[in-house]
Amino acid sequence: MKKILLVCFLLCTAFGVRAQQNCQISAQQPIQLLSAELNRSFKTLRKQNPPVYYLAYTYTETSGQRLNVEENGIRSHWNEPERMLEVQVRVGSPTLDNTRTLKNDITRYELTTLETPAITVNGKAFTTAVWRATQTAVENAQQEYNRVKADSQTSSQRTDDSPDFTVPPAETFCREETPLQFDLQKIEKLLRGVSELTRGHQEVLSSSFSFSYETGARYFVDSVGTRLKTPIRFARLMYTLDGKTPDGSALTRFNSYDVLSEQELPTEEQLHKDILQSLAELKALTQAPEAEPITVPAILKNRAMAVFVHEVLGHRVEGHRQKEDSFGKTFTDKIGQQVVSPLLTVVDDATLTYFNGIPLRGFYEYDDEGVKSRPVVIIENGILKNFLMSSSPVKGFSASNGHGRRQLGRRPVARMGNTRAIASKTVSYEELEKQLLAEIKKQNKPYGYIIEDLSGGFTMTQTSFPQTFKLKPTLAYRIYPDGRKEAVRGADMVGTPLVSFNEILAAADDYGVFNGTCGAESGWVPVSGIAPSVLLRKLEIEKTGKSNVKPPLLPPPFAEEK
Amino acid sequence: MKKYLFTLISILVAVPIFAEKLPDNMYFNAMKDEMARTLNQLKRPGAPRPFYVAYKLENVRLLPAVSASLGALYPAQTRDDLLNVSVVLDIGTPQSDSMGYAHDSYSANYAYSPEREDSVAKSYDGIRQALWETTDDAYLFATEVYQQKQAYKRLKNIPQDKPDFVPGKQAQVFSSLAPLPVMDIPRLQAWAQAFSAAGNTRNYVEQFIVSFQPIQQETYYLNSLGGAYQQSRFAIQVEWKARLRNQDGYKKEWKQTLFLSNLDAKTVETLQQKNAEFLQAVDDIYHARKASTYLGPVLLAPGAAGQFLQETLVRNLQHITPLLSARTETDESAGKLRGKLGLRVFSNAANVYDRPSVREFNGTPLGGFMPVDDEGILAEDLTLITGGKLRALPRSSRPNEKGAKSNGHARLTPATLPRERLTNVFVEAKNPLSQAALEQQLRDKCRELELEYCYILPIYSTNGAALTAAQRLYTKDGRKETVYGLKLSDVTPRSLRDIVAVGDTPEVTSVAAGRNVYLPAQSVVTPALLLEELELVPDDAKPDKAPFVKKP
Repeated sequence: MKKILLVCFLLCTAFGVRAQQNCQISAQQPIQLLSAELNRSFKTLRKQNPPVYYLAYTYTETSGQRLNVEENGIRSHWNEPERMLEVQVRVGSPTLDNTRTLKNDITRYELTTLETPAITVNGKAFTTAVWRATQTAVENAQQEYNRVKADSQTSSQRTDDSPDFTVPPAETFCREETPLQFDLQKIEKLLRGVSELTRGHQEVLSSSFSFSYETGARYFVDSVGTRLKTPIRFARLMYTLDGKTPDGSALTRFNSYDVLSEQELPTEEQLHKDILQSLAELKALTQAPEAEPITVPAILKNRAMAVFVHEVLGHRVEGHRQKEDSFGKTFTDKIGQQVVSPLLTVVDDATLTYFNGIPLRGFYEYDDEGVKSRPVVIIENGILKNFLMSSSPVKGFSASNGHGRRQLGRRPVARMGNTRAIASKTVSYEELEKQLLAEIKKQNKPYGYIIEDLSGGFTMTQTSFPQTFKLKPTLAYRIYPDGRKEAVRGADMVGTPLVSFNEILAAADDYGVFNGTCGAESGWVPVSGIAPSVLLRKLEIEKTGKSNVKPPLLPPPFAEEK
Repeated sequence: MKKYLFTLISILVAVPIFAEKLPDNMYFNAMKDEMARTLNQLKRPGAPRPFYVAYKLENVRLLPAVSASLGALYPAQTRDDLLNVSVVLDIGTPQSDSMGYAHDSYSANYAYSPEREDSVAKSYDGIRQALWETTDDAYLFATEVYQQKQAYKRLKNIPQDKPDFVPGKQAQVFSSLAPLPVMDIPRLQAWAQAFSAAGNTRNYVEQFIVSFQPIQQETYYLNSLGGAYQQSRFAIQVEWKARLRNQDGYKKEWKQTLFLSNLDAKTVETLQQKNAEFLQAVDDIYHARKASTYLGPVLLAPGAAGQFLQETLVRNLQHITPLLSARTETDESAGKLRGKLGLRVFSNAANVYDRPSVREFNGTPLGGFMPVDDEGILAEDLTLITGGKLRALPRSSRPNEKGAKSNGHARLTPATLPRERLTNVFVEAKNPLSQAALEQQLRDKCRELELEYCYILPIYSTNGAALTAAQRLYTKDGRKETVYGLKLSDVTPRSLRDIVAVGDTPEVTSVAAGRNVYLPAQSVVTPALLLEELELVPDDAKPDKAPFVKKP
């Protein structure tokens, strides 16, 4: 019954996409040229010593603009059409290849990347660039393979001796989208206008208002026979307000709006309202007391909970972290065991494009290894079911489930897409706050916490560090037993994953979306998190580090001249 | 004396003295208003107030770059994001101030530089905001350095009777700002495609890029003594770049850059000629032989001579007043020739001049053109070397043992203050020789030394990097042969005295200014130079194997 409910939940709130009938993959000129060059090269390269056993090209054609406005002036405006080629080469065999992590060097994630000239009628300049990039990539891969071989002879037995690669199945897919188009003049006027809202506010030391979009297509060709064309579409409007207290605490308020059309941009009125709210919050933080280290009951509001799930749980279920002995392997041997509160189910589903009308940045149809994306149930009612897999197999998980991701120029590893936390039982948010007050009283604590917003954070998964996480709230409130709320600055959330996720007592029905960009070994990738607000039995708070440099002596001129 | 007193009094009262009429634009309006606030209100308890402030804004406008390889265009990117702010702030008194001392700490927290690295919003308020923020950083830094400098002077018994800062008469020069030229982009695209397509005629060429980048750089300067200037420079940077694997399997890259003042009827001919020369050089590099150690006379082609002079002369005639430092005691950045005024430092075969007043040479814009320096002083043309002797040094308002009068050569760099630097260096031969005569003289010297061949260097390299190509000139028959795999060894300012002959066809070599500034800051205009002796040694590079797959 619970499974049925979960499926129903997915269908009711999210939307996916399908391939187009009129988009013929074989008719795409980049696919034709890349396939021809790949076939020509691979015949020779597979006979080299050491041999190339897998070769893939990713070619992206994008256009886009980035506009940044401050104090009613343009700080930067970039118009950035790009044509980039990346070459993935695997030398050796799937059992042992050039990508294996070395015991003293775990930083080798670069891919051969080249800006290509335009594809002309005969495509000669383009094909020459592809040939040159292939040559460089193979030379590098052969050198790496020799290092890997030498390293493996002198290394101790790996705990997980799974092969380095599972050759993905051949796929064919073609989908095109109308390129994103925005009236940049109109947006510039909007941003200039709203930047004036910070005039006269002494608490704002700097502010930034920006809009960016990227639109285009990605082509993927590999030696297995996969041929893909998928659209690239991202657009974001955002603002940041920065301040500082006299004792050196840095303060930030931030807001972003991910959209896929001009109609989805916030209205001027909405943007005004949000900025004024952020200004009020920044002012409150400027006057707020500094947090004290304490362990108390707390509510993580929905977006903060989405970040919490991403950082604390999500990174620890990425496939490659179950394999390498340099990682802590928090969950590696816990498949089938209860690892978090039974209230929670966690699914990573990159096929979702929207949630409650908000575009999801973690959407993709095929991952960066040409594997089709699909929903992966990571946790079901608190029990660990799956890991997020790229084409690097781990014990018990021999194939990719479409999570091999990377930024341009980096080699893919297992990464999240749209990570959703679903609660099996929910109450209203108001009820959740009542439960928080009851818990504060029950534990006889002076106050509890409401974590409204997080700027992000980090989680340490390597054995050479404590297996802890640290998340940085940008807006947090103390809530006292009588219901009074007080803004607090300088509070960091800390803890360990196995304890923290078992402290969830209740969840609200107010699912929210966090859209962000996540950084890890394979670079920065767009991600989304969806979660409800939750009540934690206890949350550990510690002080944030702060600078010993005072704010500037004179007030900002933009604040002085109202 | 009265003037000097007036300047001192002006400084001490620390009220901005602006020119009667500064240009009415957002740049000067923002600088003027924020400077007034800084001088009237900025005060840290227990620290002296600022008595001198200078602001400089550089607005770099990049028009769409046009670039192609092997006949196909790259996408044209445009970036409008380069308005840089620099702030110089001095506290204490001119007699004993906060500048001219290297901060005691290596910590990145104290790595203040007057040049703000990121871009600034292009509005009156955005510029003021950036000036305010950078001024506050500068004041914090100055406060710390001031205390350290005073302590160091006391520790080392440095006499207090000589002033630290003696600014001269301030100048105001406001050139009208030309509107951004309209570029004929389709024409540039056609040229980039056509010229780069020449690479398709060589099977060994893997990449052959020709690119055009039009740049306009506007500079606005104002200091609290009234010094001010406004100027704009425009240039089109043309770059050729080729990658190949030579016949022995070594990967080689060959690059040439040219700056044009504008596009006119002769441009296409110039570009065609340069393209043909570049292609010929690429051919020579492909067919070149590996070379071995050589010690003997060398002829530097004008481009190589420019780089040689930059390395040995220009770099050693800068930073004349060394920074005080408790950390190292020695300012390693100070020019090695600074103490050799009146001594023989150069060959008698040529005289050397520094001319900030010259804007361009034979259609090539010069990087060092500046009417006023970064301390508000009119930049004077200098006769640097005659008869082989050093006759003048670039000077700022920081006195040294040779005196206190600036000649308008203080230039702002990513350091702690404007320091002495050359601008446009001209080398003029006493008896100019044609290229043929220079080559004949080189062969005569080879014969005298019983050498089978001598060398002509079309390019120069620094920091131990290998020369992509060098040219052998055979003594017996004058035959030329291109070789590779050599690097220069033990080149010092002493080599300047080894110049025995100078050519008659000067060319411009320009040097980049530093981060975020696209147009060059210095130029050397020199003909070919024949040196009595240079040492060339083999590099350690190993060949690569042939491509796995034939070029398509």
